[in-house]
Amino acid sequence: MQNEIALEVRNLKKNYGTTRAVDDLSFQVKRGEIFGLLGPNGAGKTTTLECVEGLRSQDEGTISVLGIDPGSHKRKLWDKIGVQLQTSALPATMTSKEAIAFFCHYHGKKPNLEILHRLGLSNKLSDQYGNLSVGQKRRLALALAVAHEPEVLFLDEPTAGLDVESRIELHLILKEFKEEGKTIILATHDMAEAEKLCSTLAIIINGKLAVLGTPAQVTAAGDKRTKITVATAKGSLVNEKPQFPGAEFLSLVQNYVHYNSEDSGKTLLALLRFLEENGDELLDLRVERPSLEERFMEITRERRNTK
Amino acid sequence: MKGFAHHLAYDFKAGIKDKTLMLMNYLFPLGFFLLVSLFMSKINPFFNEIMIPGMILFALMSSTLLSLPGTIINNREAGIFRSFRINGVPSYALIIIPILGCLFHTALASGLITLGGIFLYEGKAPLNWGWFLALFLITSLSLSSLGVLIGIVAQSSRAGILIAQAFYLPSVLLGGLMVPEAALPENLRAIASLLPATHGIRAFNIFAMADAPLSGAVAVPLMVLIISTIINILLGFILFQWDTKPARKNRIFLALLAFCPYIVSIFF
Repeated sequence: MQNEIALEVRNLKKNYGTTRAVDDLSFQVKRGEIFGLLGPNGAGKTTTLECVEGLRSQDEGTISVLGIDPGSHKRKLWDKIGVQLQTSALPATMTSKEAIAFFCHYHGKKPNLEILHRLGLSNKLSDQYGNLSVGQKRRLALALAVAHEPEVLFLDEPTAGLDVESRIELHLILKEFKEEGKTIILATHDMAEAEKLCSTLAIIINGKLAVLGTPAQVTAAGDKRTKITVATAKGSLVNEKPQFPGAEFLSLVQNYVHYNSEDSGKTLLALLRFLEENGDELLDLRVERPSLEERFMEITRERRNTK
Repeated sequence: MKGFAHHLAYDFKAGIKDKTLMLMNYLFPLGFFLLVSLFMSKINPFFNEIMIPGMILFALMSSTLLSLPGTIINNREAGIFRSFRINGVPSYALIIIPILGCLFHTALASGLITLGGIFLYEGKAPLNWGWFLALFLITSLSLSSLGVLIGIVAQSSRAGILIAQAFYLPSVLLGGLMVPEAALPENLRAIASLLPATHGIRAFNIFAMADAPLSGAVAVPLMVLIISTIINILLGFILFQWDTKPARKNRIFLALLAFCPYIVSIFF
């Protein structure tokens, strides 16, 4: 099942007037994976998703979702996919329970209220949409996307505007959906979210695919240097300003010395030896690989410079 | 079909749950009927002759022209149509269901006006009840399809209100709802012919209140209402947009075709 293709996009192009929103984009999503679509604002994520969901027609290229062409079999597609749009709404007087029944009937399914319980909306069944909080509206939107038991879920920034607790809860739910075998395509600005949830990431910049791979592959492809941050009791690193093999001094902020190292093993050994020789004591030591966020910023900068 | 039926039932319920819709469907027209009939029947002896069709037309315009376009524009602008679309709601449902929902609400309000007119204010009862019911149906469909069309083509809520008021206010003043059309000067009668309410009241007066046979020029108001309903619905299908923005401005000129039956009627 893992090797079956749920979604295939080939040479997708979409223009709005003279502006090219998506430019020759190609990628595949395997069944049962969480696929992350990242990119700065206006990169073409939402346009790509809307073409794939059958909400917009592409100018060039082919799309296949579960073997269905979104352009010609929308109705069939919409019964098999669940979509949480970036901005969507319901009539203010519609209750959560009514919303589930409303859409399930259109999908030809029996209303599935279980999903509202699962998403923590048990006590909001009879509350009108206009009276729900932002977080509750987001959860209801997710409930509506999955109520008809779709095979593929498209989520466009599902955690935008949510507090930390709601965000963590939603992450757990998405992981549960993945374990149940659902394929999830997640467009997000939140790098930590993408790193935590996604098995494959695609970074889109100016409508083009900039990077594609696992979070580890995407991160590793960038700046290979490790960031080392040290604080000592006697401040010998500040006073002596020693040089360590493979390391470059970055900055000194409130007794914390920051280095960038191309060989963190050698740098750390030398650093610890230096502290011992100078009778200094280690108070804090942090060794950090570049994060996905830093890699993302690096790619964005590179692309901007080459534009 | 189950989805459509469920949607229709929801739409009817929403018309009662939503305070604004409740006001425009019931409270405003019924309150207006109770108050206006009370003093108009005393100062205008002819008012009792046209009280029931006049007040029904007023209730129809309140539900369709004052309420429907705003609901459609708000739903479109808020992205509700997009949410509906991705969940398989067909576009025809978003055109037909508001028309049918309006029909149910206006039927209830019109029933109360008819009973209240006869029993509270001694208004003239229709001579032909069959025509009365048929004309209620035809006029309601004509006005609600116009309300839906305005909602589809209006660029914003404000524009929707202005367009709707451009039909509503002249209809109240010139449409023959409170003052018989015969009392108007000739040139104002030509302007009145451009309004759906005028044809509604003419048809009610001819067929339901006077029980005249359907023949020749008297059939014109009836034909205008039926043809305009068909044109409004067809234009609604052509111009409907799922996006938060309405149809492009150059296509909106198509909506002016909705005036054709009314313009032609001036020459009859």
